Amino acid sequence: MIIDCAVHPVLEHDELNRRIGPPFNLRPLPSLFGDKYQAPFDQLSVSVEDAGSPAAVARFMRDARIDYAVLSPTTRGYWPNPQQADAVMRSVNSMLAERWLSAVEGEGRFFGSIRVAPNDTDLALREIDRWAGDERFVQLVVPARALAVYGDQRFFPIWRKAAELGLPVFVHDDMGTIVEPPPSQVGFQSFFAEAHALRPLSSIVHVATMITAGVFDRLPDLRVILGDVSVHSARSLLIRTDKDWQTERLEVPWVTKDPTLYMETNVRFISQADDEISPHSISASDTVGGENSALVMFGSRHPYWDDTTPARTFPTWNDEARARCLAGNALDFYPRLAARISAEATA
Amino acid sequence: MTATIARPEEPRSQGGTVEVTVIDTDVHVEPRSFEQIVSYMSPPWRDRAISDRVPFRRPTFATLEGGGRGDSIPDDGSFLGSDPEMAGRQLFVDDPMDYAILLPWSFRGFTVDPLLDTALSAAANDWAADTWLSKYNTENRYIGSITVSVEDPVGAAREIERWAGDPRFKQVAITHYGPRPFGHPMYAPIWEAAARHNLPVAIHFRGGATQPLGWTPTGTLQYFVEYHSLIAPLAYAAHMVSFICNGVFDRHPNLKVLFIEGGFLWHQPVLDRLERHWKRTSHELAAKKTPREYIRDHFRFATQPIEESITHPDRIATLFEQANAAKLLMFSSDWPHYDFDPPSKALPRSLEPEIRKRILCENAREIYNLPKTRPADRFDLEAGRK
Amino acid sequence: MATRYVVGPVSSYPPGSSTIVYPDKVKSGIGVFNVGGEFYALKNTCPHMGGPLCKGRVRGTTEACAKDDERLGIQWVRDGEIIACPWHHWEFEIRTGRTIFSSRQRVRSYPVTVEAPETMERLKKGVETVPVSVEDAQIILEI
Repeated sequence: MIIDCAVHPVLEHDELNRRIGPPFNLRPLPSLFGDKYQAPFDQLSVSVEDAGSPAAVARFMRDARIDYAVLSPTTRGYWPNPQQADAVMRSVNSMLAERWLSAVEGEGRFFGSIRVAPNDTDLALREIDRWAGDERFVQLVVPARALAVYGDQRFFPIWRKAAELGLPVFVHDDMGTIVEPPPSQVGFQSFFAEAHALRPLSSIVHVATMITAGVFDRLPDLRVILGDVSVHSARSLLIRTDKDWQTERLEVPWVTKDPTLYMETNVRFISQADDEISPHSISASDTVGGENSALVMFGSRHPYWDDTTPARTFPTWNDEARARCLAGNALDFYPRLAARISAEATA
Repeated sequence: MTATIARPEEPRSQGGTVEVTVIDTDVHVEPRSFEQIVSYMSPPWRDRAISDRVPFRRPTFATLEGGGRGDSIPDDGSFLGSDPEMAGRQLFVDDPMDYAILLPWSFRGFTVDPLLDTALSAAANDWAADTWLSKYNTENRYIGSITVSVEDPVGAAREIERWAGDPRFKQVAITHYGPRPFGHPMYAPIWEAAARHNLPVAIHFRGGATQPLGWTPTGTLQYFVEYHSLIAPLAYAAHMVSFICNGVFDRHPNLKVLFIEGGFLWHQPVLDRLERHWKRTSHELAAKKTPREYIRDHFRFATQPIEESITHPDRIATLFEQANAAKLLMFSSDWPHYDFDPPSKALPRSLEPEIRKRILCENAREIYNLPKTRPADRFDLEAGRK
Repeated sequence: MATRYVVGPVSSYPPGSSTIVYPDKVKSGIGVFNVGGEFYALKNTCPHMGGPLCKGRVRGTTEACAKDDERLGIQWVRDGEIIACPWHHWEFEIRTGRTIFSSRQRVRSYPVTVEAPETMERLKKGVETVPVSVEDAQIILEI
């Protein structure tokens, strides 16, 4: 079995804008990838029509022998106006449910994501409630670029609800973000190549701050998935926190173990293109912060330009380790997805 | 411009030589008091009550227990790192090193006024030249850095010119923060001046007055533990790719950039991600080499605070070896700060001996062009090294 | 065979006080602490990176406390029972030599006894240093 944990359907522009409704659709939606860092090539690996077509995505899955896919559409980053943000989230979620999860071409192989805006915790909770009863939605998605770190207490009610409902939180970098602090610690970069290379850092910051703020100690069932971060990026940076929390335990006494060990219990990573050349990737086991093969979940990132295939994903690992990455870890991490698939198997 | 070069006295000969085995690339020394620096400032700065305008200690993210190495704080109330006898004993006798690269620390990045920042840097250089690099340097173990203000690139280049050729200074030192990553053309005068004189540029992590402290691309951090772990790598990663993508090394093929006190292991996945699709992403750049080649040829990293794993001490050496520590990593202690790393114990135990040797000494020796042996001196006698 | 080392009279080291002694056998030193009337001795060498542990601050430490179901609280506990290394601030329980965070690292500890003046007379020959006058109970280290 192959489960693709990261397919990013492109919601058809005009229809999405119609659904968002007035007054927010009086202007066109911003572009999919934002206006600052345009790649010197097409950022979609297929045509816009195919990226927006359930039939074409189902065909891609058949060709790659992918059995199930978790769909997470972009919401074009951080919307400063909370009412507008709410309208965009509602429209994206309803369009995903109606156009994709209910599409006959999907044959029940598409799973959905509830997108919430982190501007206003109460509105986010309401949006989760709107969809929580629909078992086809298996995760929450929040943007990697926010105006506060996710260890901040203001977000805690969202994480608590996610843990209660068995919805892992998928952190996705939408690229096109409307309001943003500089995308590096030292200001705006000049080129797409820089922005692309640095993209994983924000998500790692979020996870680090969730660990140090004791979010996982308070919510042991909370699960976080990083959509744009290789396990090696996270390990190589978080390892610094492994050292520092012992020195600074006074300020964070709720942290009970090495921060990299929280990766094992609470965090998973979508396979990345850099995994294909990383020296860390050769080995499925025996590294700091848990086995590689227990931490990575296959995600094609279709239809983005830096997508990958099951065949290219950790080819040096043994069959058992690859099976964990291609399906086993997802079944362990997504309770709703596992329940649906096992119900299907017994039916 | 001319500089008065006061040569340090010849070291008192103890007869014989000592093999150079440890070079410390990050040692912070201080004046006895801030007034000592002010006395080196030229008018009109000295007349403007500088001490009142430049807070020597600024509130910042800080470790609750205190930032100094507990046993390095002078009894007489003078600044941490200001006692030459204590420094000599702790650096060259207790867990002996051969050379200490000095990065004077506390008077940089304290002002929002870029011209004052340059004036403070110049005073710091004059002070260092007068004290730690001559009077206190009878044994010739200290190596100086030309401190410049990254906020004032034109003034910085002028300050580099003022000291270039003085054998006491072997690198340029800047702080890590700027409003744009360091490949931006606004910083070009600094790289040009450093490259012209074959001086490596050491970037040291520092919360300067103009830095939005604790800001990340996704909001402010909350705890010092996050700040200490994350801020320097976040900044250095952005600078590293910026230097590469903006063609700084294509313009200055001899320029070396040293990332001090910002960790090492994180650079490998950033490089992997930059390298994986380089053919496509570099299409809009004029790059001549691959990211891996730029890093091998132009960047070095200092060890402290060295990445450790208490739960898996046996596994960490592999991560260092995979990240090319043998070529890229240089030992540093950060004396006299609380997170001091001693040379005999800091590196992962299971590192290959040859790699350990390169990290402790060889990589820095090549960067700073230091000798393989040096005359034995009184510290060697005390340390029983002779 | 264990060597005995006289630290000094009990009256000089009231609860909360500490000292470092440097016996010939342990040149890096041994810290002796009075915690609530009981004496403990730890090697002055941190198992982490070899820092002079006993030159660190004797203090309490923090503990997480649940304030309500959502928010974290912090409280100061065990005042005087903890020592923090002056390098890297690792915290150890003075009574056991163990780290506060769970680890296998432990600082070496030594038995300490308090001996009455008459016992001291008998021990005189076996001890390394002898106080000028024996008027009081003495703190004895076994190394």
